[in-house]
Amino acid sequence: MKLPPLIYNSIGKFLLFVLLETLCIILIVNNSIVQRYRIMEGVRAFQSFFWEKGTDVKNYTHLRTANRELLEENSKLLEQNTLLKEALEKNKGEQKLVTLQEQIEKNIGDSAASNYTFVLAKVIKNTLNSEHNYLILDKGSKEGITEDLGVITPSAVVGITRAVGPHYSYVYSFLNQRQSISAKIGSSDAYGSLHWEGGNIHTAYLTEIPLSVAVGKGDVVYTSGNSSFFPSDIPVGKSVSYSILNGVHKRVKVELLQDFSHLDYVIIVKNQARREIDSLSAIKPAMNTK
Amino acid sequence: MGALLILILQLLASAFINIWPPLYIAIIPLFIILLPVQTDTYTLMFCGFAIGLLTDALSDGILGLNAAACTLLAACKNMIIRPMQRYDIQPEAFDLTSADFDTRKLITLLIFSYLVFFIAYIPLDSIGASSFIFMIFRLVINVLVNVIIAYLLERLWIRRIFS
Repeated sequence: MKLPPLIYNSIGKFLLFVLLETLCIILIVNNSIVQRYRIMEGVRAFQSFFWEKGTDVKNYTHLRTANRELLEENSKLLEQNTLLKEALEKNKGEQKLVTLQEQIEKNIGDSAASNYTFVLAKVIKNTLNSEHNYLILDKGSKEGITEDLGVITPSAVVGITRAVGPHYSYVYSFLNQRQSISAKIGSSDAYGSLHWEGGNIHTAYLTEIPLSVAVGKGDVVYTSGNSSFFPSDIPVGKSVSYSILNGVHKRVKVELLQDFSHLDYVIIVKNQARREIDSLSAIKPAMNTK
Repeated sequence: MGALLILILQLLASAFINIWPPLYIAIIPLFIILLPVQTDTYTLMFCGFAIGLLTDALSDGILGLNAAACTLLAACKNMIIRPMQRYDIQPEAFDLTSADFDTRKLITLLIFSYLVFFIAYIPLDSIGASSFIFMIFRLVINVLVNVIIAYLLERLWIRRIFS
C-alpha cells in the first residue's frame, strides 16, 4: 500500500524532531549533573515500569508451567504424607519401642510400604452441564492407569476412572449423579455418603449422618478412607446447613472446596493393595458407593 | 545578518541581565519567528537547533537547553502561524515584518511562540528542583516579560532592519 506524500512528510518531520530533541537531551544529560540525575531518575522509573509489566506478562505466560510444577510437587507431598501417616499408624498399632522417625525413614526407603502412589494428569475435557458429567485425562494404560482408580486434587475428589485407552482415560466425574463417595464430617468420624444431586456444581450433600452427631456451619468434610479408591482426610468441602431426613439421619449441604470449572490438572490415585482387597471381598462393592 | 544580531543580543542579555534567576530573557525565539513563513519545517528545525546550540555553547548555560526549546518552537511554528493567515493574500505577503501583520496578530503569535519555547525550556531547566505550581508561575512570568520585550524589539528595531 502506498502512503500519501503528506503522511511521509509528517512522519519525516516527526522523526527529525525526535532525533534533534534526543540529541538535545543527551547534551543536557552529559553537561549538567542535576539534569542528568533527574532525567536518569525519570528514565529509570520508566524502565522499571516496563520491566515490571514485562515480568508480569512473563510470569503470567509461565503460570501453566508453574501450576503443573506445583501440582507435581503436591502429588509427591501427598505420597509422602500418606507414607508418614502409615508410619504413624504402624508405630501406634504395634506398640514397639521404635521411634517414629525410624519408622518414617523405613517407610520412605521402602516404596512398597505405601499403599498409594500418585500420577499427575492433565484434564483434556471436563463436562459440567450434564447430570452425568465426565472427564478425559491425558494418562492411559501406557502410564499404568487402569479402570477404577480414584482421581483427586488436593482439595477435592474428582471422580473414578471408568475406561482406559493407551494414552487417555475416561473418568466418571464426582459431578455425576451415579457417583457417591464415603466421607466424614469434622472431627466426629461420623461417616456418610457424599454425592452431587445435580444443578449447582459448587454444592453436594452428605447423607446418612447419625442424628447424634453435631453438625456446625463451616465444619470441614473429609474423605473417610473407607474405600480403596481415595486416601483418607482429603478435605472436600464445608458444611453450609443440614436438615433431618425421615427423622432418621441428617442430610448436610456441603459447599465444595474445588471449583470444578477450573480443573487443569488432577492426581490419579493408585492403590497397590486394591487387588488384594477386591479379591478378599466376597461381594464386589456397589458401583455407587465408593 | 539578522540571526547574528539576535544571537549577539541574546548573549548580551544572558551575560548582563539578571533580574531574577527564574526569569530568562529569551531573544533567540525571535529568530525562528522572523524566518519567512514559506520556510519548511525541516529547515526551521535545523535552524532552531543550530541557533539554540550556538547560544548554549557561547553562553554560560546548559548545553542543549536552548537547542531543545528552539527545536520545539521551530517544529510548532507553522502550526501556530497557519490559523493566522488570511486566505485572500499570498503567503509571501504574509510576514512578521509586513504591514498586514497587525499588533493583535503579532502579540498572539509571540504569546504562543514563547509559550511553546518555555514549555520545553522550564521543565528541562528546573527538572525535579521546582514544584509544578512554581513551574506554571515561572512559565507565566517568563512568557509575559519576554512577549513584551520581543514586541518592543520587533516594533522599534527589527522591523526597521528587516523592512
